[in-house]
Formats: sequence, C-alpha cells, structure tokens
Amino acid sequence: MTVKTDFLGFLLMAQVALAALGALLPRRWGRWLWLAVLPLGAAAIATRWVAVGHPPMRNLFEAFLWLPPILAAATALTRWREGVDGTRLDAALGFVVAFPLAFVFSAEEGFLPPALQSPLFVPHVLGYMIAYALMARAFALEVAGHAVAARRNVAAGFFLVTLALALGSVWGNEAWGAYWQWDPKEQWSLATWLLYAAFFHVRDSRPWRLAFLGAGLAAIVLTVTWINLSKLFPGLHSYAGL
Amino acid sequence: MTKNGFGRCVAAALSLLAVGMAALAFPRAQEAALGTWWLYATAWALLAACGAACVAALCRRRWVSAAFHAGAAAVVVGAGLTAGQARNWEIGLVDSPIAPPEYKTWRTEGKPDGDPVELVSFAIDTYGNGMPRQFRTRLRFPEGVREVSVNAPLRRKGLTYYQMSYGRAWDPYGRQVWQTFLRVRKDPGAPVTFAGYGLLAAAALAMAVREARR
Repeated sequence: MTVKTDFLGFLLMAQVALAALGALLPRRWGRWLWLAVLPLGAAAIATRWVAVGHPPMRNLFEAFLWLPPILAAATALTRWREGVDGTRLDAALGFVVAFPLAFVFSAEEGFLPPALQSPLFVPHVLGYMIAYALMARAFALEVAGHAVAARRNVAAGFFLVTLALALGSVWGNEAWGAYWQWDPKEQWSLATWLLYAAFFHVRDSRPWRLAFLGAGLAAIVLTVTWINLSKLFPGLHSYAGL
Repeated sequence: MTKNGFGRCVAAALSLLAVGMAALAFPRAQEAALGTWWLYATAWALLAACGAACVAALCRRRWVSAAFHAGAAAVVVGAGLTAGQARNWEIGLVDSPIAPPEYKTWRTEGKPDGDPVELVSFAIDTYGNGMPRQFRTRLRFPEGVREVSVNAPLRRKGLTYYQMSYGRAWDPYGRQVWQTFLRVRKDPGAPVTFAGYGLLAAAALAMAVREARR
C-alpha cells in the first residue's frame, strides 16, 4: 500500500472517489461526477509530466494514469455517438484502474533510459492504453447487451492494438536490432491480438462474442500484471514494471 | 459446413495459436520449441490459411478482408525470411588510444562489403544523478566517420549497426577503459514484415471506420 500525500496523490484519490460515486449513484448525478474524472485525470497527467520531464509512460504507474480520463472520454463519446449511457460500467472500470494508482503503485520518479528515447515511445504506449480501455469497455458493453456499441469499441481497439503492436515491433528493430525477440510481453501481446482476430470470425453469435471478448480481456489483464511483473518472465520490457 | 461453423473453426484455430504463443513465454517451452519442425509447419500452415483467405476475399470482392489476410501472410513470409536469411554479428570495441588495432577494429569474415570498421570514440551522456541518458559510438569507415547511438542505428551498404550496450575492459597496461558493444545485422525479412504491418493496420483501420459508419 503506497498512499501518496502530494498534489498528484490528491488528484488520484479524487478520481477514485468520483469513479466510486459514478458507479453507485443514480445516473443523473453519477454521470457528471464520473465525467469530472476527465479534467482531473488530465491534470494528473500534466502534473506528472512536469515533474518527470518526459511523457508519463515509463512504468505501470505512469501508463495507468492515462486510463481513467480515457474511459471518461469514451463514456461521453459513446453517449453522444450511440445514445448508450455507459456511466456505471465505465465508472466501475475507472475505479478498478484508479484504485491501484492511488493506493498500490509506487509513484517514484525516474529518468527515461536510452532505449525509451524514441519518437515511437508515445504512440506505442498510448495506443495500447487506449486500446486496452476500449477492449475492457467492449466486454462490459457486450455483457450489458449493447452489441453495436461493443462492436464499435472492439473494432477501434483492434485497430489500435494492431498499430501499437506494429509500432512496437518497428521500434524494437531500431533499438535492439530485431523486430521480434521472443520476449514474453511481445508474445502475450501477439496472443491477445490473435484472440481479438478470432473475435472477428464469430461476430454473429453472442455467446462466442462474449467468450472471445472475455478471453481477450483476461489476456490483457495477465499481460499487464503477471507477465509484466513476474520474475518468471525476464525480458526486454522489464523497465515497464512497478 | 455453414459459414458460421467455418468461422468458429477459424476462431478456434486462432485461439489455439494464441495459447501456444502465450505458452512460449515460458523459457523452458521456448527452448524446447524454437527451431523445431512443427513450429515451421505451423508457420507454413498459417501462411497457407492467410493466402487462401486472401484469395477467397478477392474473389468475393471483399477488399478489406483481402488486405488484412495479405498483410498477415506478408508478416509470416517476412518472419520466414528473417529466420532463414538474417545474419547477426556481435562486436565489442575498446575505446583506448593505446589499445592494439585488433581491439579497435572489426572486419567480419563473410561480411558483404568487407570494409574495415574502426572505433573513433565512445561517449556516455548522463543525467544529473549519473544515470545514462544516451550512449554513442563514432566509427570510421573508408568514406568517413559516422555515429551510432541507441534508437539511432547506422545503415550502410545493406548492413545496420546498432548501439547495444557498454562495459568496462582493460587495456594492455591493465587500465580500465570503456568497451562499446554493437550489433551488426543484415535482415532481408524486415521490409517484407513491415509492409505486412502496413497492410494489417490499414485494413484494421478500414474495419473500424466501417463499423463506426454502420
């Protein structure tokens, strides 16, 4: 448990509280409270960016900073575009990612190692973060019966996963001299991509859609946590841990 | 077999592939699998499936699906070319004015151009706390001096020079000096794979746009 008592910590705890209220309160009130995470999350990203002097994406704490505002933006977008109010689902997802940010992950600051100093750093990490948020929403929306919104989320997420995987590979070729190195995180990212590719072959059947969206989300969670953090899988992405 | 049934079979096959790929993250599984005949057989099967899906999509004028499967096939072809044709040389050069020439120069047998490469200098830029910000090696080629650093490889005559790492070494007088480690690589598969990525990403974008408009 790492409680942050500085301004950034205040912004993170406020996001946890707003996400919890957004998930629990009636939609009329909950929506506005949850959408307040968008400016608070942007402020948290800006605060961290100024403090560390580089785009905050170096480790799991910094990468997770982007998730609550991305989810809040997606709530607004889905409501405007599809007419579907996903406030409670998104706020619940937001709580799940904001809680470890505020109370579990270490916020220790660090410099960018040479390998991360690339123009591909930001699009690679940000692409994955947005894609992961969209894939988590797609599963939640499918469970809630909003099939069209779920498909749009997963289609956009699949494009971003494809792009981020390709950019990571091109970057690996520039930094390490090979575009594929049998690194555990590379392999699990490709496995996740294959599961979502499988989803597009079974779009007509709801149980199959649910199965593949669930399996894809499980693969994402395992990639971000187990593969990223376990000593079982030493690899080139070791700086991406806690 | 119905269209849905066929789609489910493909999805099941892709899931098996995903499970296999995830399992290869375990070091022991990777050691046992890499280079085996069945891994190559899987790659050939994947190539055949992607090629067939691409042709079928072209026949039905489903351009996005055709581009996607052509991209996947190109990635597999590029990976095959890399596995069979790519060559790597790992070299370590010592940065000391009194180091013997063989410590400072490199000429690999079988290297396409055969030109000598000589270390001019190695430098480490650091942050305020001493942590390395960047490290760079300057190399002398017959045509002049060029630099290679992390994330900025040097491309020359079909070879790419990568700055990998550095360490301490000892010169003939027992003094500690820097040693820079470089990787030199020739990979004819990389451009094919990257072209495949382009097709995959373009097709995935088209799928997302189509879904948004539907």
